[in-house]
Amino acid sequence: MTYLAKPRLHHPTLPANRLGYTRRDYEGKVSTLCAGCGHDSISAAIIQACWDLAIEPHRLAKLSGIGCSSKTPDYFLGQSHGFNTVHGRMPSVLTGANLANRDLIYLGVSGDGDSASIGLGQFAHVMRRGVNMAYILENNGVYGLTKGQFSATADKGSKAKRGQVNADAAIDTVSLALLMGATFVARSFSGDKQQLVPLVKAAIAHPGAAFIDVISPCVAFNNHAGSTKSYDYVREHNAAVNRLDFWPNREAITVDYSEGGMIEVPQHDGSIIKLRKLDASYDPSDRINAVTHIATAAAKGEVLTGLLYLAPDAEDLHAHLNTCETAFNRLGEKELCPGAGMLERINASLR
Amino acid sequence: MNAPATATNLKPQQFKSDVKPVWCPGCGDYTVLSSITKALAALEVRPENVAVVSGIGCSSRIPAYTTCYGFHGVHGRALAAATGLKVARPDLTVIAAGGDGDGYSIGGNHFLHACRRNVDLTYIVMDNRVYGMTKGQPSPTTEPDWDSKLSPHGTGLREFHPLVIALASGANFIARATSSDPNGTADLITQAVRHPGFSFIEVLSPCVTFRPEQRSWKDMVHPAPVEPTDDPARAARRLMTDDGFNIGVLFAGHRKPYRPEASASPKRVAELEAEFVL
Amino acid sequence: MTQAAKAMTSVSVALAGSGGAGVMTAGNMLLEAAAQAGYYGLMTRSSGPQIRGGEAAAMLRIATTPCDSVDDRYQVLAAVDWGNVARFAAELPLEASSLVVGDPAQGEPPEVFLKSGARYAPVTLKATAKKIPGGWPNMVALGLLGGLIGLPAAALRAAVEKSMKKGGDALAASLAAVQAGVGEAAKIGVRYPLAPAPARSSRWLVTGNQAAGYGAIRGGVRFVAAYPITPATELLEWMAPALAQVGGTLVQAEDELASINMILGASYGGVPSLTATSGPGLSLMIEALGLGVAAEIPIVVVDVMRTGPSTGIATKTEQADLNIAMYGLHGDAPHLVLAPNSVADCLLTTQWATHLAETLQVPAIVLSDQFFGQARAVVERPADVSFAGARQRAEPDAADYQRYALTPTGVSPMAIPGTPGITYTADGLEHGERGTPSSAAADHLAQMEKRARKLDSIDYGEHWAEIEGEGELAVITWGSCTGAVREAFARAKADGVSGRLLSLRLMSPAQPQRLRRALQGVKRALVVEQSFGGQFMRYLRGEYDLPCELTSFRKPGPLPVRPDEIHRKILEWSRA
Repeated sequence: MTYLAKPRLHHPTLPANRLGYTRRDYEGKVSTLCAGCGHDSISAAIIQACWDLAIEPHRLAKLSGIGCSSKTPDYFLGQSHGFNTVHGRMPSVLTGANLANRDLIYLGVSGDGDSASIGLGQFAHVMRRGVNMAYILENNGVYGLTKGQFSATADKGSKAKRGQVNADAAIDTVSLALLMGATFVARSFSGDKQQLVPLVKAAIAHPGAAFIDVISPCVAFNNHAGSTKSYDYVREHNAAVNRLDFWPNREAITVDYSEGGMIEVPQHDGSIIKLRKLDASYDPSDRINAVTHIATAAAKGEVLTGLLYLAPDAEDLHAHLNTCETAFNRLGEKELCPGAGMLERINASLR
Repeated sequence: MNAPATATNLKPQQFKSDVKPVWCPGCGDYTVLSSITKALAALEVRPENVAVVSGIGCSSRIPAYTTCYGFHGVHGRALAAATGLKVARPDLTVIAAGGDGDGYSIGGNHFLHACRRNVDLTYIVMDNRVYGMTKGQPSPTTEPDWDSKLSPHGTGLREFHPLVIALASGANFIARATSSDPNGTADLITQAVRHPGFSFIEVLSPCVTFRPEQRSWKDMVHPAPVEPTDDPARAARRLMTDDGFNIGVLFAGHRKPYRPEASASPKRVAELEAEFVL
Repeated sequence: MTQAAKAMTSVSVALAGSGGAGVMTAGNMLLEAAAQAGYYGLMTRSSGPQIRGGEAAAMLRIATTPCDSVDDRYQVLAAVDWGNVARFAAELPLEASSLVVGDPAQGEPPEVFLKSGARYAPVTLKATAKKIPGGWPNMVALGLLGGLIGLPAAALRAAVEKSMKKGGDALAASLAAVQAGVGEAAKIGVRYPLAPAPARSSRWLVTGNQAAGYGAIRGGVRFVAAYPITPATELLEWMAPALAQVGGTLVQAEDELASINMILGASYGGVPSLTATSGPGLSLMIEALGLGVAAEIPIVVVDVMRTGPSTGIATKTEQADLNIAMYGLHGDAPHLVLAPNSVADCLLTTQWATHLAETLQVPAIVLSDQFFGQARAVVERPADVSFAGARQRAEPDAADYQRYALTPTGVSPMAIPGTPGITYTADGLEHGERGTPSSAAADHLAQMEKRARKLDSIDYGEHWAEIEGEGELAVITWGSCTGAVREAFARAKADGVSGRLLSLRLMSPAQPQRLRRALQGVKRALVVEQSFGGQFMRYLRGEYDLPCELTSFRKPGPLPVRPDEIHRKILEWSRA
């Protein structure tokens, strides 16, 4: 949805990866999201991860639903395949695509409104099915595209811009993915490149359902306090209208903290999110331990980040269904036609 | 329909309508129906103040078999209809009921959100791990290797664990019951209705037609060897290691039920137009 | 460039800029100022699907008479910056006498705007704003536009003060910026002054979404389930606090499947209920609408139509959900479909829909659209009508109560949970009179006849359509095309040509006898609609036996049907 073309000229000193591609080859169009949106940092991490992994761009398909985050595939991997689907239905479209062509790498990109509300049923079942994909949920706890209603991951008791208190309990997508049987479950923060890039790489490499919940601050709507002077000004300017169309520019929030450490990250709205990075000694191979760990941290008001669970014996849907090694879309008449002998046998059985 | 207008103590039989169930002889759902009517009698409610809401499937036929108000809606959406009804009419006792296909597959999304929203209603799922009405296809709770026409050699999929998912989504009361013990189930339903917020009861209710092997469930069930807990972390450990046949209340939490607040400054309808007037 | 400084009865101006530049805010204030000065007005909006960072245009028409339609051309296009504004060019037609105002610091205006021969006047909006501490370019643009069309300074001041109630330095800075803008306007040397304002009357400043929400509450709606979708979200957002104030409730659902089933549950409980959505959401609700028909549960679904299919152009208007609203339900499922024909009429139509749904115990779909929903207009205060929820309820302990009794009208008293002695099960399964499921052919036929009969059991009265004018020519239209057609006839009248306007409000059940009477004496009719496939034309051909020659005038969204297109067609015919 953007109309600014990026210049195609490459700086001769841009480093190339194993395949000879530069980072620019993994970029997309210019983002139209709000300045400082966490989603843009996630796009950058995906670009970095794919460059590092030296993925051939045409071997990757990125699928998304509807919402701000679901628009981001336009802003990365411009030379890969993309499918912007229907609200909440990305998991089923991705499942079908994966079954038809197992040779591609599948990236599912979604937001909390898309995945945790209308699409929660699909989210749960795609994890249960073990579709081979990297599912990245860009989580800000708010519907940005329709201007600021609560989503299902909003914390209970938090206040929306218009002042309603969220009375529903939050859906913890990470716990849910774990319980539904995802074989790779992680959580990170959009501003933590050191942690996020390796997680995206690992998720892409994982041979099963890999899920990363990335906390990604919304600059436009998830803002309770309105602390800055300019924000006050804006709010006054908008008191008379039914829809906001004016935001101050924001800087993206970045963090850098060590393993086992805890960091308090102030959000654009003045609230604070406490991130606790998993210890180096944490054993991610125990599903029950992971669930307990998350619950214990949540009780302390902390959000655990890092690789929370990795199944040692992960399998994907193709293994469950015992499909053939060749991608379905490459099977020709030769492979599919059972031959005259079989036809004869079928005919005989009907006589 | 024949409930005497003045009685406060009704007999279970008075909650049973004269409509003949469509269920097969021996179906577990018959005893679940009995348990519901026993529970309603024990709760000393009147049929006109109870609404039984369901979706589509064998067990979803249950509303018409009671003398309560019934709502037999569309596939998978019983909890949405029940939520609307309870929020609009908080004075009613609302029970949603249905099966595993209705509740966990097409209705899976509403199940998770109903747990999360915590409206004060009771959800009874008669789980037989099969789609019976369409004659024997695997549901989300079916074992991965269960052979059927639609999924020969099984689905290969990990089962959906409803109790664990309910807990993770925020359900306020979680119990497992068995159709082989109508009185025990009645008691669990009674507790569930009394418990504030969203209460979830999974009832093991065999399908004798498509899953005759489930007849042996009655020998496999046993009372849960533990007391109900209000600690979600303990409950999570308990439910994730559970053998699937523990009967009883497994979690009872203290979350405040969802109830929209009334406005502090009520207005007449005509006053609303003040904001438009020039 | 010569400029007739003759006073104008209608002026159209547009303010464009990057999203986030505050053009909508300034546009709203300009509309408010025009209203304060005693004018009528209409503001529509165009924006990309971006949250911000895209481009947006506030498009206003200010006039001495009510505006139900956009005009053919814009007299002034001002831009805070040019960004990607050129992509709205088709929505912002200019003419040789138009004026383009832009900030030279933001570059030259795109060629597409100057092609019309419009005059370009560079005005340093940003630099002017910068001279005022706390001043913003959009406020300078507000003053500039107000000055160009001759709005009194007091009206501009009142509009700014009204939207910045906190006052203080910010208010002072904005007022100074507006004043500076007025000063810049005077330097341009071209003006588009409005004729004196008409006599004051009782008026509202309202959007179609607000009017629909208020109409629903007036009609008795007290429960709403909501799932956000552009462009229906504002209707739901307006209703959330409003409902709470009148003792109602709004619940945010997890998806459209839940919201429609929630309102079915609530209405089954006796509370008139509504949800609002747009095309993709309506598609998800269709199955449950069938349940509402079969179980005879009244509900109202407002579809604020947008450009489709699929996600389409979510922020722009089209009239292409008529087919799904009329014919999308599975089985034979008689239900109500209504369509408002102006911003203000969103109130009456939604109120009437609620009344009809409750009276007939049937779902009603109201087809509003993005143009109505998100347009803000200065309108005459809509007349009070007495349509309110009137559901027939069954008495407690009624003898031999049968929920689906075959009454002469087809409407049977509904038992409301909590009422003793008459309990029943509402069911999507076919049933007998008592409500017990039945697969007997006779029950199916009897209940089908009952459900069809009830829609014909009442007199829909004069509201079924708007009928204006006389003549052998007619234009048949609906929804947001109505305003343009009305204006086209007004212009044709000045040319000595008269004709008849028919705008249908009640789409289902169709009223063939009424339409036949309304078309008596008409030889040719033009069918005007905003759909690519001619859905309305097909609907007319399918539902009515039309006594005259029909010609279709149709185009898809998002470009509006403009008065001139219809006016030319009418003149062409009158000479044929």
